[in-house]
Amino acid sequence: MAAERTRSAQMLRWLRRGSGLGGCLALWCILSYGGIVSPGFLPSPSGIVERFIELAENGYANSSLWQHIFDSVYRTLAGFVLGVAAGTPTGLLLGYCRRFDESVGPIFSFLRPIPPIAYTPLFVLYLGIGDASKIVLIFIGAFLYMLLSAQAGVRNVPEVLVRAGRNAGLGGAGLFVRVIVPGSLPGIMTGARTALSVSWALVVAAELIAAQAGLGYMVSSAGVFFDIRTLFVGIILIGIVGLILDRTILMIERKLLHWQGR
Amino acid sequence: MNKLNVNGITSVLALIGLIAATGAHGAASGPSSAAASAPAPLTLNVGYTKGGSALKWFVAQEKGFFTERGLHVNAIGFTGGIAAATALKAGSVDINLTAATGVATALSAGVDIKTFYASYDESAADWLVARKDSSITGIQNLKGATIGTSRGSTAWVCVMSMLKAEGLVGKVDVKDIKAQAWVAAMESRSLDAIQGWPPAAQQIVQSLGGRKIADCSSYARETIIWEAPAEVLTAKKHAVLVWIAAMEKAGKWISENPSEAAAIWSKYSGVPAKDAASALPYIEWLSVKDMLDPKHPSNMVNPDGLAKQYATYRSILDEGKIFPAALPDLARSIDPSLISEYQGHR
Amino acid sequence: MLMTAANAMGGSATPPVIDIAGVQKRYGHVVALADVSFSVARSEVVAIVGPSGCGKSTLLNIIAGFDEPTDGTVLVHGAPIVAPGPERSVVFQQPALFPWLNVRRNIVFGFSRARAARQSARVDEFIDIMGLRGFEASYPYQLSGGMMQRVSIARALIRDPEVLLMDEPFGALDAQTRLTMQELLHDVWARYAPTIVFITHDVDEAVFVSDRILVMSARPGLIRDVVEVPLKRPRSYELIMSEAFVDIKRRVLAELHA
Ligand SMILES: Nc1ncnc2c1ncn2[C@@H]1O[C@H](COP(=O)(O)OP(=O)(O)OP(=O)(O)O)[C@@H](O)[C@H]1O
Ligand SMILES: [Mg+2]
Repeated sequence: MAAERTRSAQMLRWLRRGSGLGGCLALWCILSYGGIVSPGFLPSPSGIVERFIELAENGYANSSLWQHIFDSVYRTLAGFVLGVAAGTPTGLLLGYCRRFDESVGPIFSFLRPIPPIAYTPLFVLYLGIGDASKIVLIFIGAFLYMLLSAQAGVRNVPEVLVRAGRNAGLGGAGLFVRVIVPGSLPGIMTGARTALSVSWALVVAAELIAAQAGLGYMVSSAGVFFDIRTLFVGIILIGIVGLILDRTILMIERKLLHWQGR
Repeated sequence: MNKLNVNGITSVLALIGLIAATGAHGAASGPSSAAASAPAPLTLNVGYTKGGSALKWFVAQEKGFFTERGLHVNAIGFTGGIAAATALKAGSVDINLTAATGVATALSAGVDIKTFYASYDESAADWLVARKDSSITGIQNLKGATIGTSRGSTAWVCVMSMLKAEGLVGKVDVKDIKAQAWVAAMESRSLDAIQGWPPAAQQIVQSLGGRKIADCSSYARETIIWEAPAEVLTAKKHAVLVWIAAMEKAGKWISENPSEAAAIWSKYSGVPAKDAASALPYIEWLSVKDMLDPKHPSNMVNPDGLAKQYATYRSILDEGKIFPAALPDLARSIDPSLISEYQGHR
Repeated sequence: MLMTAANAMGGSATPPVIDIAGVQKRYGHVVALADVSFSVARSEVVAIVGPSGCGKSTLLNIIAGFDEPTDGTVLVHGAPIVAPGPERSVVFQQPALFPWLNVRRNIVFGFSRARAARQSARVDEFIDIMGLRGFEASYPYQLSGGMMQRVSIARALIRDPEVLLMDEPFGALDAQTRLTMQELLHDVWARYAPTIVFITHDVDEAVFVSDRILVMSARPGLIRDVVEVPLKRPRSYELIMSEAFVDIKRRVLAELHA
């Protein structure tokens, strides 16, 4: 009886979840199949599926569709992982060590408001047209974001926990490792989640200028030649991959922060 | 312009609701009829691609050739094709500066586009420029090289024709590099050479010491043209004719005042004046007379002119799978009726 | 005057464990403590009572080494305080558990792996005493407020501190548990004889656990009076009804109301 109730409740939940997306899809079908909007502006769902199959079979601009997806994901993850690996400890130190903050903090305060995209031509100049220029661009974005969230994470560690740590005889490095780092983890993880979506958005922009493949490249290139169906396939793929990335990091967050009881 | 608004508002007040749309429509078609009866303000929304070589158009604006004829132009700069094609489709741009590739984009977007004016031939100014420290000295040792250019552009069509003509297909790596990144990509040594249009190609030679290897004139002619949806050419015929007159004057002015023209080019494109000046001699500014001359390679009247060029572009673009579907005949867009009428009136 | 009186009262031949002289603490314009002096002898239990905001926690934080006095000296074993440390174990006013550690790990926090292993039997003992059996592997979010405070107390006690600094440690507990805890404190004291500074709002509790009660007044924070608690140990809860107990309680309440 109870099991049945939860099962129907679950079904209802899935229905609710599906209704929003389903509604959009229905509206899209009405607009395109009903002839209200011309396919040159809004291709029909079946037109996009058709184009997707074509692209999956023949690729786009001398690269297979999987290559485009892989390139973007690879650049995003490489830049993101490096950004987290460098930004988190730096941010933690900035938050923990006042002298470090005073000496290097202003550099980051200056860099933070600069949108990484502004560096694009510079990175092509310094690093060439290969993956490095895009990865570094994403790295900068993720790095600055992680820096900020780790620093804020340290500030949000309750003072009473710091005192409890010091009371247990910890100080300096011990306090940092056993109290500050785990205490900042919620802030770090929230930051990482946003940093990942920022990275994914950045890769699309980073691929606009000198990339030879990637979903961002595909979309901008299709845009130049008014290839609307490819554009839509690209946009939908960017959305799907972005969603998968977000769900993945959410899962990691839940695992790491199980002790928050959420 | 004011008069249009008044018309629109009157209609809205008189016929509320749906009928207001009809009123607005009536107002939109107003200028041609108004222009026919009395001297009324003429307007054209003009699209062009930033960073290109729209010098005639820049000069005509700068020297006031449009305003002195009572024509008001709204300049709309684009960076990519979709914006221009969409704007043409939506009617927010009346005429647009482009080349055969742009005509292909508009046609594949379902716009009934017309090529009504050929502005200039820049094939002699579209250069393959090698990095100064590369080993490339000529087309003969291009094998194994990496060339950058904007995929699907006129310069790209030129490269592909060149590779085909020289038997180098598959032996040269052609990378897709947007114009903004040409200089940076060359300086970073990611590329051996750039195929670029003026004035950027000349800038790479002058400022970076690049070596000119070839130009496009012997591979694929590049005539830069003005396009417009067919209905604009009828609805705004008078304005377009006035516009043609101003452009003709600008073409003449450029050949008479090259150094001042280079300065204007520099002002509008951001390229240093000396680089712009060095590109000028390689560009052939076309006049309506050239466009109507059956012997001219850019003529709009017989199959040996622009039509031939368009056929070449069509096959190269199709081979490169630039568009999702095979292109229609681009030459059917060529429409010399307005330039003929202009010539007849003179 | 007060200082000498306090010294005399806590006084014996051995030097005081905590010696506070002329301590002031200001937060900007707020004078949290104005000239506080007293000392605590080895194994003495001193309770501090006083109205909210009179500076009790401030005083405790200074002894613990978290804060520095604006003026005056604080000596522990005759030496100025350099940093907080486990020899002056604190039970905070709010439960201060590490949310990422389970109950067991919170209790042994700060121990080396080897020490935690060695003390494992004692940890079990404390888990039983504190009524936390079955929750050893639970995380703080799975505990009630009172349970969390019991974990904090276990953590403070398991370190065998020389000095226990307790800031309203039983405030969040129900009457029954509080009684158990008060008796446990007596047990601990009987076994290890730590020096204890015990802050409370509850006058009964102050009389029951301490040897001496410092009654503080607010604005500015001062020690208004010191009340001796000459009741014999071990104490049991019947004591509360005794004449002597009530008498002391009356004196403390009179001071608080004055
Ligand atoms: N960090 C601080 N900054 C400014 N003022 C403070 C700070 N800490 C305490 N105070 C002030 O010092 C005074 C004493 O505070 P304290 O926490 O010591 O009171 P308390 O006696 O422990 O009160 P309670 O019984 O409510 O816990 C209060 O007026 C408080 O506002
Ligand atoms: Mg307090």
